[in-house]
Amino acid sequence: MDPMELPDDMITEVLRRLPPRSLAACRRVCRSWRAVVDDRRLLREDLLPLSLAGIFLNLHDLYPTQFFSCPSATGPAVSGNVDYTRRRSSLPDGHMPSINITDHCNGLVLVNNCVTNPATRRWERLPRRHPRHVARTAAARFNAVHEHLVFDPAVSPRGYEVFLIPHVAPRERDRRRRRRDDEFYPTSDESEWPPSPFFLSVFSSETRQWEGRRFVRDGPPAGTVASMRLHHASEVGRGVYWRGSLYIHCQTNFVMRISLSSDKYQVIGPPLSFDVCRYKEFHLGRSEKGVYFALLSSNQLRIWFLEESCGQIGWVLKLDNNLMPILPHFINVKLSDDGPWSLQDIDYCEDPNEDDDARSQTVQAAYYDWDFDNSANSIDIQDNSVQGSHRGFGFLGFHPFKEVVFLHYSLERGLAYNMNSFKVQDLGNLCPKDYGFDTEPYVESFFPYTPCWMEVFPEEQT
Amino acid sequence: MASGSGAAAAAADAEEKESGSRMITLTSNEGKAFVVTEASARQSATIRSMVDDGGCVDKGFPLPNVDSKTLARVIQYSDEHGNKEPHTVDERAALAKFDRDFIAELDADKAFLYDVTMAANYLHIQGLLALTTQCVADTIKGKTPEEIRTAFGIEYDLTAQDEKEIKEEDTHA
Repeated sequence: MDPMELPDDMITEVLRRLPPRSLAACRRVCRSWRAVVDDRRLLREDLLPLSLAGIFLNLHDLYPTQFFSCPSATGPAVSGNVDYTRRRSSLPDGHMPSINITDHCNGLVLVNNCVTNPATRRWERLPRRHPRHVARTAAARFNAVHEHLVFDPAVSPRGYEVFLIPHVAPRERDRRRRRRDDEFYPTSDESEWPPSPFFLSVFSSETRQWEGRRFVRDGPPAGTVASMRLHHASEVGRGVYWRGSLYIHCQTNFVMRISLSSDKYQVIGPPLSFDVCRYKEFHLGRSEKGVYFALLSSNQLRIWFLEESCGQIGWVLKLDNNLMPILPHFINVKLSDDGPWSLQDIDYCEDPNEDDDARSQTVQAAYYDWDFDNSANSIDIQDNSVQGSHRGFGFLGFHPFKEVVFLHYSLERGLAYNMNSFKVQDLGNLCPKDYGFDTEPYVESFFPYTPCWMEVFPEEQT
Repeated sequence: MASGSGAAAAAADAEEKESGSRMITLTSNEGKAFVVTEASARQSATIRSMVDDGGCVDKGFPLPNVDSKTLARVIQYSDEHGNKEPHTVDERAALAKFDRDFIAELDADKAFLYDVTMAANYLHIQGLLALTTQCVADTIKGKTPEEIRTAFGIEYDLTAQDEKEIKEEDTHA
């Protein structure tokens, strides 16, 4: 039988088993296939993580992760509160685990050894991690292992992976515990870093198991174990997933590009030599065209784009601007005024077993679309009202779909800064009430969040 | 399973006495009769409802849309799934292995795979339909539109206007 004789019902049966990216290809096959995909609404792009809902913020000394929420007219409002993941905790009263989001990828977040989808409020706990070959390393003892989520619903709507990436730990002071290179990771000063092969622990949602995977390096190493020790592992470790590869910000600001399909990795050197920017913090992120690096230091913002198209791979400087000139534009707005974005004041001190009404009140949905290209509300920041210790600009992440970066001024005003037009927009106040009086206030980490409405987890937990 | 009408009836009789289950005759569009256990036939929702409605069990069921080769293969599947109910982990694994081998064989002959898919759809055998449509879907996965057209022998009939619309509608997927 000629395949085209399959009736539309059969074609539908076949196509509805395909992930979104394959369906997008099927729409371009012929008119009848396109009609099947469109008429039966098989390609549900509205469920894919293609819009920004806000930014998860971890503030220093403030344990619940905060959510700075973006108004949206296109999708339902999402609560950034993920405290439901700890409801089934067997810990005794008064000892609640902190809720800190440690990674985000395409709508899934990692929190306290759970993976959850805040949009559908479904989640699952990862099985006991740290298989033997990570547990034994110095990196594990010094908490220099970072977890990274990899999830691409357009390709595999149900499958996600969690990678554990070790970095070089500080030198061990206690001589008795000092070892030679261990079975999997080098620890002696002159060894190459990253090693090849590099053994990584990976959890796959399909097998529901942690396994050791071996990645071979393509090209030279970044340096030696000793040179990595100059940069503390807590200052790096941000991961970005982009088109089948995982990019990890590593010590001395090199980026490890792990190709997930070929089990190979590659070292991409830093945009600036580590010697000239030793105490400056780089931010790796994903935006409209791929992977970007930002450096914000003394109000000077520099952004590089990772050029990968012409066979060569390397950083291209995209902008190098001083941010101070934008301040005079903002004369009349008080730092504490409301803006279009709002901070969902998430407070986990309340009993997590209370009824669900409490959390729905935290979603203050303002239903209008936020247009990063054209919205022209000018802001005024009164220099004299800034809380003393943290005056100046800070970085809050990249817009995942537009060449826009998020910044904050004095922790109170969130800003959107367009990389091409240099236009600035006021987002609103992002400082939680009463924060910063008894601690040094600063943003530790941030995750721009793109909700995914697909059913990622097989069934509802009961 | 036995085939051939005269001998089949006798065989069916004997088996019925032995197992206590009724035998059902399915006839392909070429007039060939296939005698199967009721449990096997009940894999098909179409036949199940006819049997439950008190239909013509004795006369058998003519299947004008299914040829002999396809029907034999469909019966191979429904015998395996209908006559054995897996209880243990090992039995379930054996059945999963049967499915894998079954579909791997079909995958090698695409035209036959489509015939079996059509028959599974006509007879409403959900498990078999899921197996075959998933197999077809797997051949599409990861291919470009051009590769899909080649694999399925589909003629390109999109106009420049269609392509333009698709490009505009395409987001990040």
